[in-house]
Amino acid sequence: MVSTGKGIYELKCQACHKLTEEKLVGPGWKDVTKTRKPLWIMNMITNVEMMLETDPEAQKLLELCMVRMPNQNITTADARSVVEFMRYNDGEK
Amino acid sequence: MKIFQPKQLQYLFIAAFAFFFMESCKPKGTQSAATGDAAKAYVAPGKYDEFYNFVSGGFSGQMAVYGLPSGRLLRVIPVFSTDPEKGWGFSEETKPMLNTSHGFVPWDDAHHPEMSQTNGEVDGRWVFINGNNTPRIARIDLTTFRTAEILEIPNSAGNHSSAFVTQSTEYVVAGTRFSIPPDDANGDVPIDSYKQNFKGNVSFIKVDSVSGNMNIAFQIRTPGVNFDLSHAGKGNSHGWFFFSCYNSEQANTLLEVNASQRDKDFIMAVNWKKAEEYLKAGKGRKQAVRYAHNTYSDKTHSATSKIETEITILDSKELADMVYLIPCPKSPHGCDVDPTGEYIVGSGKLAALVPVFSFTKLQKAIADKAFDGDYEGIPVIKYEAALHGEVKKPGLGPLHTEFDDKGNAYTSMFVSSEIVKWNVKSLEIIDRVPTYYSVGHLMVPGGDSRKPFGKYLVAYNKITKDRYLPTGPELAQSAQLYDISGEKMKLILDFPTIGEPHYAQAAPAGLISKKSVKFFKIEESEHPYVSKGEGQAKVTRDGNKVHINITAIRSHFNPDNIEGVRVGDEVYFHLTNLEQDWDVPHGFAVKGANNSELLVMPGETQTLKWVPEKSGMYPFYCTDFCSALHQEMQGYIRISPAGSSVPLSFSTGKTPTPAAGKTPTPSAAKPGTK
Repeated sequence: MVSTGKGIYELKCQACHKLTEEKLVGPGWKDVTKTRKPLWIMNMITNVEMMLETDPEAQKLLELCMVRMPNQNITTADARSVVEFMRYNDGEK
Repeated sequence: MKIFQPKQLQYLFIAAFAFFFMESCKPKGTQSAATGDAAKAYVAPGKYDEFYNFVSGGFSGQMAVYGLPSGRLLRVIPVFSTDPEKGWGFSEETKPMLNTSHGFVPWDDAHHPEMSQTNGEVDGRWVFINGNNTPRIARIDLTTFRTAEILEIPNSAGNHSSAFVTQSTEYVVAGTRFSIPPDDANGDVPIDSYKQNFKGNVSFIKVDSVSGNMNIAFQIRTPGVNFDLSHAGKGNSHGWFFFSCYNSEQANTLLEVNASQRDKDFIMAVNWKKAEEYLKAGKGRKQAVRYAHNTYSDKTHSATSKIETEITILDSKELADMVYLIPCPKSPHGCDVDPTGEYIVGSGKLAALVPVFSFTKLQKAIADKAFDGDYEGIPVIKYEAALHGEVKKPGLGPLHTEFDDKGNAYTSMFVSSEIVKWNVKSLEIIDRVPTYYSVGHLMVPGGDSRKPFGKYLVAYNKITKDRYLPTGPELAQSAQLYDISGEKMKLILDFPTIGEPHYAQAAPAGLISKKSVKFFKIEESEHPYVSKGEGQAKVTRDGNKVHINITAIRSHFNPDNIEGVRVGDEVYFHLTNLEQDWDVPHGFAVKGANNSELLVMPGETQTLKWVPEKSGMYPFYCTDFCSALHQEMQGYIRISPAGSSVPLSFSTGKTPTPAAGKTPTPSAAKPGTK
């Protein structure tokens, strides 16, 4: 799952998200799994339009980044793999 | 999604009340009449049209897509002409689509779109359209609204009586408006040797029922007449194809006079099932020719052009029972078959009547050998033997006929600028309505199929004059939309078109909209220079060719700083759009490039070739407003002189750390400011 998630990251996410804390277009992913619930991350990946419409945290990030996160048409199963990859990135075994 | 606050609701209520009030006591007179008719063409903001309307762009070489009844221009699909806006014919991927046996041809004249049909009904899969000048047939894929295939037609000139399909799209046909010496003959002959050396041809192009790919199955060699238009038989007449022809005089000069001598020209009836038998029995003759066959792949996002070298000819003079000629008054133009397939309408441009032929009578005439001699070996049917009847005094200059689902026909009258509605069986005229001005083609959605949708009719006019605000000597051509749901035709909308509209097609929106592709899946791309993720962006040198695999996503390029490219290099920007969402194209343009922009759809890779001629600094940027930071989506490519030793390098986001110490701010540097 981690390697699947890494593959999806490199294809669809890497252009805007670093694996460090550094913000590129969007925020860096370091420690994202410690500050956000998995459900929130899954929603951001698979249903970003709804999140930007309704979720205050997502709206704060939009004000910070000024670029609407694109919907990269990632399936729920693939989004799960991305979350696993994020966990791995955050040092979880 | 929006939540209404109580106060807003109140306003809404008041507005609704006011609306009802106005409805209940609407003013009488001209204003209400205008409102009533305009309402029929009104599609509220945010609402969709009922029909897609595919309209030939004529001398623009393209095809326009309108919504009906609103007349909204939805898209212009580049077909035979280059389109710098879309990079069509400019990107490396699309250049092969415009290749021909004459080399790269950047323009053509597109006349007759025809939608694919299944069992005689429009099926919303493809639109075929002809290139008139350098004879070609294009197939447009209605999932992507892009030209997927272009096939050149050999032995042909003025590919006019095209691109019409048989009832299940077994074939799409092409014909010759100009007869010419065949491609393998010496064409360097005196023009006045027309009668000996010039031949006509009609081509039957097999269409693969799954992929849509086209291949010329056979050509029928005919006498040297001019083929004008055609339509397939359907229902009982399925298996036959009808072509109108003029210049049976075989004149080669001043056709305006010399091709109008005879009282009657012909409708050529082709029994293509019989032709298939001859082909199978090996009665065809192979001929060496050269013609281009270009296909575009949505997997590689690239076109390939192949030169084909052989064709099979079936000769109308030698093979019996395959071709017949029906006399038709005065240089027939339109050749249209009614939804039942029984009636064939020929429109003699110069005739004072519209003859309607009966397929049943035609079959009987053939069985009874009711012939009036032959024309270069082809039996000529006795006019009366095939005639169902004539529409008397229809108007002046009948050109084309379309049909509704209630047994009526609608014929365009070029000279008298009107559309005439008549009953196909009784031949009685029911109604006539003016057009503005000089209508050419006309179109009812599904109006040349077995299942017309007789709600609207569009007239495509040749003359505009005072219809719109003047725009200098050149005016957009006008189209007029009529409501034909009742007994009387009613003009409800007037709208301008691109190029010159000739024939058109329309289909219910639901047949097409659901299948529309929203983006290309990047995982599935087989483009040789795709960057599947920014990690694959790179710059490589191969001799003097520099390949730049560059990515675009809102809102930056990777790489956006490129150095080590030299004068004398050929630079290829292979831009991959990493977005995977609908309607997020990225554009790409580089200063001074003798080329167009690229406009790259999500998941697609397109290539811009650039040969820099001077050393210097060249900015590039995204041309399609993509996000709030679109204006930041830019980069530089440094061009060094030939032989320079600047190493090849590329990066994004590696800004040098600012030097330590205070940087003077602009205000501090400028004396006199606060």
